[in-house]
Amino acid sequence: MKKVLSLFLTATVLLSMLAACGADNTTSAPTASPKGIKKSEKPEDVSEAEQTSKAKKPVDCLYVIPGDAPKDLKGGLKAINGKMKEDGVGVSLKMKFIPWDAWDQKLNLMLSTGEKFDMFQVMNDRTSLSNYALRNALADLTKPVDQYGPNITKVNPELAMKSAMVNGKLYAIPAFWNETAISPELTLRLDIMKKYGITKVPETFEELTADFEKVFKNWEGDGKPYFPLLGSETSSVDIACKTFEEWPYVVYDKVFYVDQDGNVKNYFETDAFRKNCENTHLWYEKGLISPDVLTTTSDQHSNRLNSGDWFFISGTIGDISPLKGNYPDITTDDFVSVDLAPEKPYVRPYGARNMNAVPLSSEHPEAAVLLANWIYADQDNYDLFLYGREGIDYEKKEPGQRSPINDPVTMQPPYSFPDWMIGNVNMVRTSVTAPKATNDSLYVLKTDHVVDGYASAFTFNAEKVQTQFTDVQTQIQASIAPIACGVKDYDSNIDEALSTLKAAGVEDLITEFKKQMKEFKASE
Amino acid sequence: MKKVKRIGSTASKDAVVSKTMQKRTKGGLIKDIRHNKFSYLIALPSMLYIFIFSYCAYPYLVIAFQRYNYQNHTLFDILTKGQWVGLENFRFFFRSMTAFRVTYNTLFLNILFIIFGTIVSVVLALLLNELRSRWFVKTTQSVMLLPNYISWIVVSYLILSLFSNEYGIVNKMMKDMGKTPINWYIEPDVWPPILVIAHTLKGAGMNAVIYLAAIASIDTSMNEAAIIDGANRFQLVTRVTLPLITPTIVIMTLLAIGKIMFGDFGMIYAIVGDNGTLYKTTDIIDTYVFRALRRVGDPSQAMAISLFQSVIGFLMVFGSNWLTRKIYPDGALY
Amino acid sequence: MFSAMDTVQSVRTGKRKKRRNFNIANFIISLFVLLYSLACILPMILTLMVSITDENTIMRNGYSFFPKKFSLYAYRLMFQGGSSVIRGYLVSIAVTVIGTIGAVLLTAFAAYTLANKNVKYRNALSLYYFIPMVFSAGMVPWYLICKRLGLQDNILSLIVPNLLFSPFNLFLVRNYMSGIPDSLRESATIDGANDFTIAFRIYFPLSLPVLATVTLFYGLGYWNDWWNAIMLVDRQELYPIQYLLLQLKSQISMLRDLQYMAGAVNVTPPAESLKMATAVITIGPIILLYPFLQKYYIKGLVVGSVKE
Repeated sequence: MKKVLSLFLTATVLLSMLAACGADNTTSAPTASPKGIKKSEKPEDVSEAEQTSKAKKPVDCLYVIPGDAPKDLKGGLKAINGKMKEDGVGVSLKMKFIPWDAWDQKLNLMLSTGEKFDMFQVMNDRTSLSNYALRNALADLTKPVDQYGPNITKVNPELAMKSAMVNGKLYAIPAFWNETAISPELTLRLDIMKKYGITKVPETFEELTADFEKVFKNWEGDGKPYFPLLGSETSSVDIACKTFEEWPYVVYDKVFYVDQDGNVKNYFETDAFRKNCENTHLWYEKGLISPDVLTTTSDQHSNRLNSGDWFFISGTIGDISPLKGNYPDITTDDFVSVDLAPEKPYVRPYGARNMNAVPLSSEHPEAAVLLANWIYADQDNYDLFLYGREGIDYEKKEPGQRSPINDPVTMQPPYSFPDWMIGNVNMVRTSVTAPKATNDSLYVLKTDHVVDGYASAFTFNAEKVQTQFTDVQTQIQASIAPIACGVKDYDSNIDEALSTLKAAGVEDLITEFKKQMKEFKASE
Repeated sequence: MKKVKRIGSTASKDAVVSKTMQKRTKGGLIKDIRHNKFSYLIALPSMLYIFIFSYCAYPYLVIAFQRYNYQNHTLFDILTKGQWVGLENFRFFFRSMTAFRVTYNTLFLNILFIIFGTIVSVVLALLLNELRSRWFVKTTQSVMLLPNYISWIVVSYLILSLFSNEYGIVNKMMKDMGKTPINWYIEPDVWPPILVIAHTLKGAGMNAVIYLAAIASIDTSMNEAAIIDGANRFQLVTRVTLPLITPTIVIMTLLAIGKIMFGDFGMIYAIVGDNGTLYKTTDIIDTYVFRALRRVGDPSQAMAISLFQSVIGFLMVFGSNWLTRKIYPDGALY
Repeated sequence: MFSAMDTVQSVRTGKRKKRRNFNIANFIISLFVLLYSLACILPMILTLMVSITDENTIMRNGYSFFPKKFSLYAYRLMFQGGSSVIRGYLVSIAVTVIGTIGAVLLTAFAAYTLANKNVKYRNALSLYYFIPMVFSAGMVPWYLICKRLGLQDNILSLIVPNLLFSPFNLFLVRNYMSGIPDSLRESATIDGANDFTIAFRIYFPLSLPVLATVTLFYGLGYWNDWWNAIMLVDRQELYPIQYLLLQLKSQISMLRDLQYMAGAVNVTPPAESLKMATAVITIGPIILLYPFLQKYYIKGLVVGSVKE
């Protein structure tokens, strides 16, 4: 008996040692001598990697991305790696897809346990880059991009590169995939317009309202062509804002109003907000906005957009194919961007929101840089990586367009890669299934009638005021959203809303934002 | 009617006896193992399992008191190289103006869930036990498990189809009856009842299964004895069946109390989502923390709040269990 | 299944009588149960109906019990994986069967010990098992421990973590076993039985109802799990069916977040019908499993009559 007991005790102790305090075989040193990994080369230090890239054995680059793998990921990767080999890049690409539901957690796990991967997608709207950088998750890419990524700096304007920096160091490769000077983004349906006897595109807010009312009143068919609005996430409906005298201005994180002179205010205290609310309230009273606007879910919102039962939206459509179900004759010419103040410029709020970072645990941080550099090197590489194999995944439609070849069941090409993760607006091939209006506004860099926002190169770090940030966002959803969507009128409700924001600490936010922006501008 | 002797009423006597015996024997554990070799042996695998997966992980809880660093991969690194920040990671939550409200909502909703859930599933089990048509009972038992398998997202759509402002069935009925429809989704106060009904419907079936198993264990001789003593059907249920499954009810309640500080995130997020007007009555700790950590936040903070929830829950079980041991030892957890 | 009605009559009249005249109590009870069942089944029917509704009709008209246009697109999409779907089912079945058996054994054994009044430290043990129900150290150590134990990318990684033992189920079984009269144990001991015999001849057979219950719970836990697969498995061949289904509908949270992004949402959201179809597919096995287990809900074998 005693023997059994002692055996048991020993086993327990051993196990606990094993589990809790075992030897560290997951390295944390970025450029230390690497441990063996299947096929990868072992560069002793960074400068030798260049020779390696011309050597026989390519360096592994495991790219971790949210979403689902395309049906023929294998075939796509084979083609990409084949071409990279021909071009002597020295990188062997692998992709790992993590379902959206588990993205944040799995990524955190992989970073926390030093798992070996070389590149991953950062979505600033979801989790900011500084979150990772300031907690030692990322490799510093300043040098690698200097050495191996000349094409990266070629295709990305300074604005985009700056948005991938934290405290002066470059921590990611930006994906400058679209023109960001698009707000307010207003799209109108020409086919509906013609159907209901309207002869020209409205040029003022009043004309737009009148036209919308006409369409609404005479609408044929089930349902009503409400102005699609995701009420719960709305803090401001910007339709006529370009006509206001305050324009141009940008609102960051729903609350920081920054004009071109660098003044920072609480957006909900401004006249611009008031005017927007009054316009929206007008539409709500006229019945143009659904009474259920505050409970619309994002699925319902997408479904409404895809059903095609709308005349005018804030935003654009990326693909007209779903609309063909209910509107079989619709074409990409049936959409038009409405500009209610064509003489005033658009503002660029920021450089890039999506970027690709390298974890500190990667043994070859330069692999990601080499990959991106190759993608941006010429159009053929870009096409291959993003759109797949010509004739199998897509057809080229010059100039600058493509026609995706969709699998009949999945409605996606066998291989394709999302533009918004690594694309670049200078090289993008727009889809023939997207409305021309969308392609023209999103994928063409504006050269005139555009200004960079005052704070466009600056990224706010909310860490010091985290509680207030959360509370303010919560209060915006609770008390501002109904006013912004027009459900409740501005005058009777704004004071209460503003006081709840104050209680939530909005003043601290504004102060902190001003402080950080001042420091940023001083360091520029 | 003679009072029916409760099964296990000797348990309290046993407890007293074993306690005194414990006091007497000091090297008690070794002796106990020696006396009950088989029992300890067969419990060993599960003990090991729990040890490895739970207890060996507990040292990592210290992360809640550190500034998160992705480069500290092992426990050794965490303990030696970690940057200690005391209660800093808890601050983001407790400083918030809504900390009290979300805690209150979590507790309030969970208490309602426990009370109504227990009542409905116990009643369901008792009723099903009374029916004689076997196929009816069998079918119902399968059917009542179904709601458990509908995801909360689907439930949220169903609720929407009931309470939607324009298309909802409830508002349609109200209009037909001549009353003015209510915009349900901006009225915070109606949601606790709706949530309780939805939660109960979803889970009652599974819990009823548990109570049915408990009922199945009742010795028929108890019922026969009671009938001989003149009990009618109703008394049979209330004086025999119900008391005999009370230990199970108490255990289930105690287990639920352990989780009382953890809200049903899936449910609330699916049904309420980002509809801020309902936060007053439906925002719980878990949804608040989820939103708080979405853009600015890290795993340490998540762990800190989880630790807070665990500690409070444990203290509550500790208290409830102590109380239970005094009043009703058969149902105590430990 | 025991019914009070039967017993009342059999005791009074000494023999089982056929169903008597209409009994109002029974009627009300049946009605209540029927209504409850309807409340349970209607959502399922709606789910089924939506899963076979044409996508465009859903987008226009929302959900309906009587779809205007039918379509099996969702099911075609789910099974278009072909062989990988079949593999997914096989993996799920294997994992569920092995895991459930293991889990029930582990649970029954531990519960026996906790319910054994001879074990003086059983209360301390109960506490030992209970604490992990409330306290969890989170994902990072869990992940590390799994990796350290080699539970990565193999079939064990789907079986062992999380699901192989649940303290909740343990307490259910323990509780049940505590209710078994001690006199049975006493008389068996007097007759010379040891712990082993008492466990396997008395306690386990008498606990069939609760063991059937936890079999159901464990089985469902394994069948519905995709978490272990996401976190620990990279090989396609080992993906259980739930993971494959999840891949089809996981864009839900993506859409939620892509709202933040300016510009067009260049993707089609997963079909409404698809989301419903995945639910329908999941429920199937449960409907099959439960009736199979119901026969264990007979009254436990009563061992003679015991004189108190």
